[in-house]
Amino acid sequence: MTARSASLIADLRAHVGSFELRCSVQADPGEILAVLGPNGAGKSTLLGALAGHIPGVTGSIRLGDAVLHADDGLRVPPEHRRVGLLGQRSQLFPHLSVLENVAFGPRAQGARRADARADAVRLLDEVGLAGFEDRRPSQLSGGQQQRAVIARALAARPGALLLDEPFSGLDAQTATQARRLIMQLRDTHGIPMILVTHDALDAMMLANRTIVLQDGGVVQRGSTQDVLGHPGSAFVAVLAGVNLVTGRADADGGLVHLGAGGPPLVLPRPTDASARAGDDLTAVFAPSAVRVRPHDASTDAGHAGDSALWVGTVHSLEPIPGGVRITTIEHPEIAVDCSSAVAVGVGVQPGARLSFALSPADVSVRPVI
Amino acid sequence: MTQTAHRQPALLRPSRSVQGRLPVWLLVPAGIGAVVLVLPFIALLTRLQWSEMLSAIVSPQAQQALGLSLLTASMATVVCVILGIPLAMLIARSSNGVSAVLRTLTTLPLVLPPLVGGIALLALLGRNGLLGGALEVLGLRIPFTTTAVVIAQVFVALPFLVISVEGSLRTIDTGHELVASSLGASRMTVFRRVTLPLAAPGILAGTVLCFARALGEFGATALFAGNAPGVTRTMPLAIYTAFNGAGVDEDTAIALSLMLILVAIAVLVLMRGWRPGAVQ
Repeated sequence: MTARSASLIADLRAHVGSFELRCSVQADPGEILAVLGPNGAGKSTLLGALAGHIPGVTGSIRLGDAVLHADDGLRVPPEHRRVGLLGQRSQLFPHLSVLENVAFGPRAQGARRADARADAVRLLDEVGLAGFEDRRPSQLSGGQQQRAVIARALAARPGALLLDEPFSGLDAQTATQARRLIMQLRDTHGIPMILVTHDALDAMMLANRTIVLQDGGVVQRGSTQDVLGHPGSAFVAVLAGVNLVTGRADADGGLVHLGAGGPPLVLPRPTDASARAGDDLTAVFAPSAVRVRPHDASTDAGHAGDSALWVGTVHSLEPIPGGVRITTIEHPEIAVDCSSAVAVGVGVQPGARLSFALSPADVSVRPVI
Repeated sequence: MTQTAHRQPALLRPSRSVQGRLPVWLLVPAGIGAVVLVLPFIALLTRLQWSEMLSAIVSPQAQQALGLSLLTASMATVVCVILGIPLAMLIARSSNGVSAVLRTLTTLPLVLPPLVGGIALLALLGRNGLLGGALEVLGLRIPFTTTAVVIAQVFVALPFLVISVEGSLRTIDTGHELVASSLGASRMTVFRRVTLPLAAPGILAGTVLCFARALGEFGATALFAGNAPGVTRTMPLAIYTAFNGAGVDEDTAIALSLMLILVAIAVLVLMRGWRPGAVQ
């Protein structure tokens, strides 16, 4: 089984109408590459190009030694690429039984009926659907449908798998089970996978590496930990649930001076930052890292000890598990989370003046990429 | 978050008694519409002479006409299915401009009087027609033969099948076809094992409509195929002949009409029985 595992490597451009996608990706055997990006970033176009479903693609696509697409005009049709497409659960063939769905790939590739069925039975057992062979897809729960989709994709013996938001539309618990199943398959089958998703949790649980697509281009790539830990774009910052602010290195204080729209804001500069004065920087910190205190007229914006300190007027409040998320009129781009107990203690309510403090240890500062 | 989004207050959940939510004033035009459709048939039944009914139905002429009708309508339906499904596929999967043109051309026989279709067929295949002359040289004469009946029926019935199948093809999620090809299925396999089965309800409905239309075809047949007993005199032509013709009285026409109605009802009932998911 490991013999058929090889890397999926692509460096391509795709034109759909006036939209252009430029992207290079590599997924190695046993690895999942996550592709994050907002709607219209080109995620579906990327999958369509890799699967061979869209025209207007230039560049190269290889699966191990097999060239799937080359600029000399070579175009391997979708059915011969061995690149499986694993989409949302609704894409089971409604007119076929679960067993027939899973046996579809082997049958279409010319396997004998008995062999295809035996394959399907084995894979259904592997994904935990033994006993459901004769059901119709509509008679399965959402999670079971997703398992059947996974079994069907594997039955076709793909050399690579493209996962197109496979967990959307599943409830949280079912999605977690489905992610765990994908994780097992990643380890047991060793097939390179590319996972397009809206959900940071997918990338965190499954992918070693992540690329971020925006407006048809790759805006960030790296280890998932790095990409989510220090997002380069507002989109990923929201996905990762962190604050992302931009600013400039400050000469005298050795501090990062960030003023994004509102009054200037001085954030502490971590000791290991190597930026020089005047460099453009981004700073990332968790909403929960900010400490909230009642406003005291004696403290003013600046920094007390090592901590950044600023004053803000509460603009909006949003419930979060165990507390509230605060944004201020002065810095609407920064979310601050505090527990219900603290919120009651300091008197958090719209219009209240509050002090905010942030320790340097909780801030990640980097030059703009 | 996503879980709660689907929950609705009990009051807003769709109710099973949908008819209870119908605006009352809709019942008036709905009732009149139903009466307009049904009353003529009731009137027809009142005119029926039961004693002559049986003899009219078992008469050799009626049997001959019914047999010819069923034969030609079946043949026409087969031709329509073979030609119509690919045509519907082409329309459904073409770019917007091309499909609009094709759809308009396909619909044309639907909106024209069948008589015009008959004249057009004569212009094409008649003795002095566009192709008719050449066929004549080859020894083929189409007008006023049973073949002409089938061609006339295909001409008027094909649009029904194409429109119905095309509508059904359009509602298919093309994602199914993409997935099938990524599983290794060739275009033909995708068409045979995914597209056709998914479009089956539309294909079935279209086939039944097509057969019913072919069975009832009169105008184009009369002009292009004529009214020769046993060769081109189908049920509608037999009814017309009986109603208008010398010596035969109106009662025979009424009896034959009833026969045609019964055949049509049988076809519709069969379709309901076959419709996928009708039981569930």
